[in-house]
Amino acid sequence: MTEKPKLLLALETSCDETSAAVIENGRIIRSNVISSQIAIHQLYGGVVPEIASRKHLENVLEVVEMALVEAGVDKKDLDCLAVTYGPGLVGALLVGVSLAKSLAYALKIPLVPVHHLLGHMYANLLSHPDVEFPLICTVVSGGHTSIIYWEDHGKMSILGQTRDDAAGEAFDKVARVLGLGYPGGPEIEKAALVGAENIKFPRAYLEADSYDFSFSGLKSSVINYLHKNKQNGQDIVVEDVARSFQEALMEVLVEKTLRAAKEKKVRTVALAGGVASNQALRLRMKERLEPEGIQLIFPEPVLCTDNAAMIGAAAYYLAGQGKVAGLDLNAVPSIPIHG
Amino acid sequence: MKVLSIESATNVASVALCEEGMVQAERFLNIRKNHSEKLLPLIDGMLADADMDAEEIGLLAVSVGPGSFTGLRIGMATAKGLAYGWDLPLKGVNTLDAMAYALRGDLGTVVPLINARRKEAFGGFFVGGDERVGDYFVLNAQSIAERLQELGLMNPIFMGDGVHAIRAELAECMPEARFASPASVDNRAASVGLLALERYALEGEDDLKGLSPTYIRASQAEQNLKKAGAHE
Ligand SMILES: [Zn+2]
Repeated sequence: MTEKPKLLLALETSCDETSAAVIENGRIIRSNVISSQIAIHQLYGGVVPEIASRKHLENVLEVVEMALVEAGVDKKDLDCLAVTYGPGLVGALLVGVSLAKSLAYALKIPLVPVHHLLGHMYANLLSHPDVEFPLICTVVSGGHTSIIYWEDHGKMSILGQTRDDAAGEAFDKVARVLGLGYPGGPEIEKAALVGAENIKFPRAYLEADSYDFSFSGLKSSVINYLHKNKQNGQDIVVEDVARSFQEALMEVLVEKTLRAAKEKKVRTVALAGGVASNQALRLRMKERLEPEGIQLIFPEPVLCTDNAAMIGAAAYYLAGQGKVAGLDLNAVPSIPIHG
Repeated sequence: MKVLSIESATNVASVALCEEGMVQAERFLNIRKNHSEKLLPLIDGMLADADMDAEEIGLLAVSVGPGSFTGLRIGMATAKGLAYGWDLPLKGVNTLDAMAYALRGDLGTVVPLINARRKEAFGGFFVGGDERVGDYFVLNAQSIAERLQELGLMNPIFMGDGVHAIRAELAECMPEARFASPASVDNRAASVGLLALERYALEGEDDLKGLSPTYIRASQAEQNLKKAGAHE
């Protein structure tokens, strides 16, 4: 198949959201149903892979049917199926992959396997259909922190990525030690709003020409700071710690993104991933990029979190490149991104 | 009516096509390879060999466990996708029930066992290979012997991959124990399909969307949460 599909059903089950979407001509979201498991995982203070897998299996067909009904589409009218095959929690991915494979087989339509990160990147094209390549895309989520030079559909290269924790992971861990709960990103953002940046946490820029990130040192110094103050009997202002941590993390993200955009001479930077919905990050990025004549775009909030619409948007172009799965498609828990 | 059945609760990946009282086609792998890569090609190959069109199939059946959590989910997600895509009813069958069914007519106590690790097995006691006595269990060899005695069950015959894990222990506790030949008693999709046909005729179909595996054991996180709650 090298024809772009008119009506496509996409599935996403890589972490703690079960999602299905119907996408028309790669751009129109006919439906995008997201069933979140956050409430269950909050009991455990984080995502429990075994429980996520169980919930996906219980919910997935209901979510698929809701997506079809909401779109007003009969499954027999679908031209193509798409599914996230990695990276993510392997047990969670397997539910989506197994169901998508057998459903595509039963309906006699092709199945397009989609890299989860590529989906996050394509969320930008759903929200900004007229954007022009090339772009610098900075992907910031619970599992990833990457700066990608995105030349065109099917053509990209990773300029840098995290060598240890992902940015979202650092948010979650710091939120936990601050007693702010799960998921950590929105909680830190909320606390930081009323906090002051009065603690100097380290910025890890690594080698001068590197676009890589490292956030584990920052996380450790937050933990050390809390530990030391507790021992000395000093008060800890949670909001100030949250603000200072967030500023330290964002400064590196923003500066490296700006340098990449200038080096590659792009006119647009796209933010992607769950952390892209952080208002402070958007603001800092804008403040640095706009004076340089670089436009910042980001997906609308619902398309920043994990969702199937973004998977469908990516699959539309992959299908056009003939990238179709065989019956032996497997879930891949970690895999580098490619075109 | 023809039934397409899927069994992936253990290292075995197996698919079958059956009609009332007859196995028409079956494919079976027990090579510890990834079920996710193997299951759909097995189905596709079998349908091609049998020269069978999906339109001729009237029922989907799947083994619901207990067994490997991952294997069960791959099998059930595959079964759900096929049933939904083909607009067919789905029937889930307990893996232990299906195993015991393969020894229907045995005069002793049929005890299918599935490896549950930590020197334990999931299992059940069946009289005549059909009628279950007592609850499904996850136990070690010693406790299985005690449970048999409590229930007054005689002449046990053990089968399934749980036997590999605790055979020596079972033989030690129960010198009278019999062990079925692996040639006849590995968990097979054919047993799942034949039993599903019987039950579908009696009970009708299962809820396609809501059907989920019989895990028997809670997940580690749930066990921990329960423990933490009990200590508070
Ligand atoms: Zn994501």
